Amino acid sequence: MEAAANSTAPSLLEAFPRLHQLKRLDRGYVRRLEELQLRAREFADRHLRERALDIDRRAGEDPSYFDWDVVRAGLPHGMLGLSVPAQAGGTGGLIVHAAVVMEELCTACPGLANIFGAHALGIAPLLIDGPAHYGVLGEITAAERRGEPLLMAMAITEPDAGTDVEDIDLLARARISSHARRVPGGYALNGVKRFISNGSVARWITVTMPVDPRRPAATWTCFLVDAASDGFSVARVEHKMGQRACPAAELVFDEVFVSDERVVGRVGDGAGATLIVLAASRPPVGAIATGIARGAYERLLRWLREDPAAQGMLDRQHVQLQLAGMAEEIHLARQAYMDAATEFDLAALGGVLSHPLLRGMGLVPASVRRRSRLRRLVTSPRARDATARFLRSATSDRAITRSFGLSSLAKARGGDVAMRVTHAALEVAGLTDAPIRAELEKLWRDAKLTQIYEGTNQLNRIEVYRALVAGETMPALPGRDGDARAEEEVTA
Amino acid sequence: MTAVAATASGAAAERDEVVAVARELGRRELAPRGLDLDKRRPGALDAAWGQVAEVGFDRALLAVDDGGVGLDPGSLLLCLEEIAAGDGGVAILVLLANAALAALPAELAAQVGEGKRWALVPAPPEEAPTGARIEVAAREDGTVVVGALSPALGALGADGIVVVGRGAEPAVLALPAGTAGLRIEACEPQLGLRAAAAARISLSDATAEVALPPAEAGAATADSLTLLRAGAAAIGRGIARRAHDLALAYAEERVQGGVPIVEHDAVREMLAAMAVRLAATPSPALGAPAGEAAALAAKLAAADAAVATTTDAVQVFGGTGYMHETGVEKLMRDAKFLQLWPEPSWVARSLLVDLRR
Repeated sequence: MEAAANSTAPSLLEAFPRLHQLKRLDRGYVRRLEELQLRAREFADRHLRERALDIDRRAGEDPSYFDWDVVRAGLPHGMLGLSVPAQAGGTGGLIVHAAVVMEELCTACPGLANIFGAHALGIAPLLIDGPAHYGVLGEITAAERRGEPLLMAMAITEPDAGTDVEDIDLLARARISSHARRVPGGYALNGVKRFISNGSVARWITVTMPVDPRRPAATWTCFLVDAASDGFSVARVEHKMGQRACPAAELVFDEVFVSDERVVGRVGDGAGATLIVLAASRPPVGAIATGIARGAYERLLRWLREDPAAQGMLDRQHVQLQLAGMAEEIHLARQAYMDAATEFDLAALGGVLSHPLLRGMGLVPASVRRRSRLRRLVTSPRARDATARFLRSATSDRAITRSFGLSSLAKARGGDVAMRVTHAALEVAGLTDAPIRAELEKLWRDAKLTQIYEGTNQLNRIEVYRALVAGETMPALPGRDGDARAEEEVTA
Repeated sequence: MTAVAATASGAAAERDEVVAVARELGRRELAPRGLDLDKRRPGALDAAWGQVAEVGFDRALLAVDDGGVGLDPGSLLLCLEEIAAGDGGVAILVLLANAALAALPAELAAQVGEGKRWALVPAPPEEAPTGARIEVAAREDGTVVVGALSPALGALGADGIVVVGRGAEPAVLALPAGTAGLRIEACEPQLGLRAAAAARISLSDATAEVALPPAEAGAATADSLTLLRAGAAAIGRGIARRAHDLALAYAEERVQGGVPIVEHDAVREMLAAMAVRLAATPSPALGAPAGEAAALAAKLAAADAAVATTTDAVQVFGGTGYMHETGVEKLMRDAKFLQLWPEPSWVARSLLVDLRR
């Protein structure tokens, strides 16, 4: 794939004309977003575009192949610290920022982009647990500054539960085989997690499991697992159709010990936390899909303009109509993910994440934060309860549910657009002998996953119905009696 | 019972028998080799082709007196659907081999040995920018061909190719592998139908056997293309049927939300759409292709049905379907590639209108 700068790539204001208005009100916000878009585009053009096909081919032959060089190349561009709060050394990007970056990276290579996307997904649960895990987040940013990549992943899916673990109601009836058993000082994790992006290369993994497998929904809990722990292993790396640069692994937990300090949020609050995480992660998936569609559209357009073999094709009305249809779909998918990301950042939870109380943590030097007494303080049950209270006061279940609905809408629509646009681009190019065919074939393969991961499009549309059409309010926020409730369930 | 009816009944029974052989070939020999064929593992294609040749599908259209099976084109199409339900790429090779033999005069076709794999290579249509063209020139020392054809599906590893040229100067040319001036090189690994690996063919003053004089080549070329499109339609149907069957079986077995996913309306919608598409796709059972336009329309319908059905099948399987091991994503790639061949659908649609005018 050519590394040359892309002349058809839109500027931020071209992509989101509504930002002209915002720029008048908050110039700094838009300026930072513009800089971020250009930084991501530069990284994609310099390091992803030209390696994409080669890495895809290698990972196709050997699924365990992983290109650390590309990840290292992302470090100076701040790709691993993007969503880490400033208090933990990151740049504190929210969902709008993550989404804009993902669109840019995915125009070059969705598989490589997903390494950074899955990393951000792994971080997401930690962000709604106050300052409890700033130690690990600080490790990520410190490693980034040293030029050493430290990746994260999130493990939810199980062999017998895919859709079931993505929905708060289905979870109650799910066939869950994992179990986090109470042991002195923490929990012993057992079970298998499947299709975990970055699972084989992450150092830290946020893992969801029930503390009582008979009552998975009520006792679903998130844990922060060190991949170097005894009992943790990678059973296999899947041979995928696309997005191959980002490995999907099957992870085995055999009595993996997680201390109480590494429980993310409160015991039993995991189902609601997963809902919040999905509300946050689905707009970037919409952006991934938009980026894939844009990548296909831009490549096709360039080929039609530049390759002598395609001479005259741009004069065909059929080709013009196809290109116009692609531009239309891409524009609408992009607005959908921006709406969803903005809803999350500004209406649902973003205000919480940038709250002065949390910002205040930034005044405490990292060396002090690392001290065991302070660490114990911020991870104590009292601190977790305080975080839960704080979340309840700063937002509401309804606000998060609405955000979840818009996020699901953006994700489902984006996935469909990615498929339709790559499908149409391949058809226009046909069986050309030019390199564009392999590029479009890859993007088409990559696109299919966006209709499946982060919940199938069917499930996402059911969520749209519940959240936006029926006006349901889902229990996303931690309850007032989080630990007590879960403990009661375990006892029952 | 009249003699005609008795003959027809006998022919129908014979046809059923042949189709049953194709079904067994697809199920027992090809489907289990699908992943190996897709990865082009050494020996996989030879083993599959050996099975194809053993039951005579490599020369199905050749007359019995010429060493073939003497199948009529309609029966071959029915068989192709069954073979494609096993592996779409192998079905393409069977189609190309038979189309190559059918394009040659009987005496030339009879010289192709049993188990040999020839491939028909249609020159691309004017509208599709698939690469260079060929030029044919008659010289004192024979007919020479210059140019390039790419990507030529199924030509990689073939024992010979039969080139059919379209356009103003139709030609049917036979070129055995090893002909001086003929180079057959591997293309980039293609999206699907990988058993029928595409090749880049370059012709540099290659001396070809002129199978048919230009006066007859026009009709032969049209017949060849019609056979390819009708065959592609049958193959699309076979791929779609397999995807539907796998998705239905999985939907009955996979439990989410406490019930098999076949109970979820979202999944039922997809399964119903698959069934409707299959029902709406012209069946090769209707007989020999009813002409160029009918074959084009059938191919367009079947390829669209195959793409939509296989894409839905992956969706029914969810994450599992996206992984190689289930073989469902392979069906999706096979279907998509089929849609681009022998010409992309938008070019085919345009040709269809020309034929209908």
